[in-house]
Amino acid sequence: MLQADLWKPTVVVFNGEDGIDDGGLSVEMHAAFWKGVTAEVLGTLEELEDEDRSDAERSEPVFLPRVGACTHSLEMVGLMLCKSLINQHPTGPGLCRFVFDFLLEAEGKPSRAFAKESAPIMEQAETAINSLSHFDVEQASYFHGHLRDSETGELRTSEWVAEHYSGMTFSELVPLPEGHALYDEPVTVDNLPLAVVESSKWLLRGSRLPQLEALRRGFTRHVRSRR
Amino acid sequence: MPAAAPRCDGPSQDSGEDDDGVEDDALSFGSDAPVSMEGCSRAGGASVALDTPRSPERQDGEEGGEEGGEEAEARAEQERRVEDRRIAEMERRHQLELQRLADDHHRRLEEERRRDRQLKEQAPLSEEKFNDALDAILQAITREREHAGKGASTPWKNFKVQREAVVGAFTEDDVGKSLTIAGGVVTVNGISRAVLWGKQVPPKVSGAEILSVEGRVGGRLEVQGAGMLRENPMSGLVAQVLAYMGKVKAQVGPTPKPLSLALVSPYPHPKNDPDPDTDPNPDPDRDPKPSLAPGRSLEADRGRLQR
Repeated sequence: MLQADLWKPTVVVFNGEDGIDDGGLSVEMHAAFWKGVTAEVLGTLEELEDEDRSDAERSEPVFLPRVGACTHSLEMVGLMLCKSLINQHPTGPGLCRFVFDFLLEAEGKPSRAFAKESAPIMEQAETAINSLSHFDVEQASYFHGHLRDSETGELRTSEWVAEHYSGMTFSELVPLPEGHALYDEPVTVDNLPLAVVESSKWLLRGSRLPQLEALRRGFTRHVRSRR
Repeated sequence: MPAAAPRCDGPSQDSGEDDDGVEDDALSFGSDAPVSMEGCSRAGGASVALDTPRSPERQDGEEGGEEGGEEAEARAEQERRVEDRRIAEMERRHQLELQRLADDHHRRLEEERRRDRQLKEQAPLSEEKFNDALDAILQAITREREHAGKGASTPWKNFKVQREAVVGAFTEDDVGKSLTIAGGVVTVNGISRAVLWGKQVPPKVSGAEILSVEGRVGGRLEVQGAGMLRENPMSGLVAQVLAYMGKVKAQVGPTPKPLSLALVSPYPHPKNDPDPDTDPNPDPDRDPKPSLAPGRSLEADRGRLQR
């Protein structure tokens, strides 16, 4: 087999069936794969478990590589994603937008999901919240509430932060890995936006980085990402 | 009291009486009324503030009420000082108030400017830009398809898969068959089978007999001489597709040369985009402008992707 096989159109045969693939069976196979690969039992991809979400919201799930999932499987999933795109087939019920941002992220280049570190910290925070909102709307809304009044949009003041988060450290307020520089830091109005950025990065990327990288390894095996 | 003081009847001095004929009581001690020239003259004609020529009558009056005049003069002086202080205090307060208002206004303007600046700086990625990213991927793939190499247009035949996405890897029919597992590759009676092990570590088994199987994923499994293997792993369409993908990867070789497919960023990052004039490795075959294959539309592609 040659590298060109990735570009070949597939002729799919379902076991025990006589159907001849004129394109329809391939579409069916790709669709079935992307639906199946999100199955909980596989433990490869995960969607947010949120009992409060309505059925309508659940009908459009979004997935990220599961924390701790098998990286070999994810590398193959990345390759299959490339194959699906090359053959113009469905890519399933919804890989999170962040996955595509990550796949297109060239090594050593700034991520498109997060603002540059040289950007104003509020811009970094708002961009991070926006990226997170595509996966975890509730957490993104929670973060937004740390920074601004939800009704007026006014920025939180030091008095408000002191009143609501007095005596708290960031480990109690936002998800952060143990050992993070902000983990034991007291919450102040000045370091709150940075904590939101760091937490968003952790939730979307840091906590599942080996899995995301495996997915990208597969995806870019024959497709070079260049920005 | 000033009432005891002699009255000045001179026409030029008699301006302390109102038109209604009622005398002012401006000199009463502690009054808030401003100290007036009229009041001073009425108090005995003492030349406190006026530098006017004195009439003989007035000089008589001064002699007669010198003691009361001095008292009135001192009182007037005191009142004037009190009044001056009061006015100065009011002016100071007024200045402070004006300053405070100016500061408030300035602060509000600063805050408004800061918010405007912040709003302009905040440009989160929009859904539109995300769709642009997908379009960029599709355009790049379309553009590079012709460089995919020989054989890329021939079909990949016999892509055999199960219709079920995820099922148990072993079924009751497998009982009594010979199982071999080497390097994670599973063969049952010599026929290879795509298996996803999940959290299990695949043991090394050579020609062991399958003793019993519970068909569901995670069901009970007994294999002769393989005590570690207790749970039925996963197979089905997903495992088979991933196995096919593994074959592509494996057969391409350890150091494949990637196709020169550029995923062009739809976002403006001028610093990151290679300059075609200075790019050391320009692709001479690349079209300057990406084009879509005949009959294709980006909207249709996006629809397929999101299906």
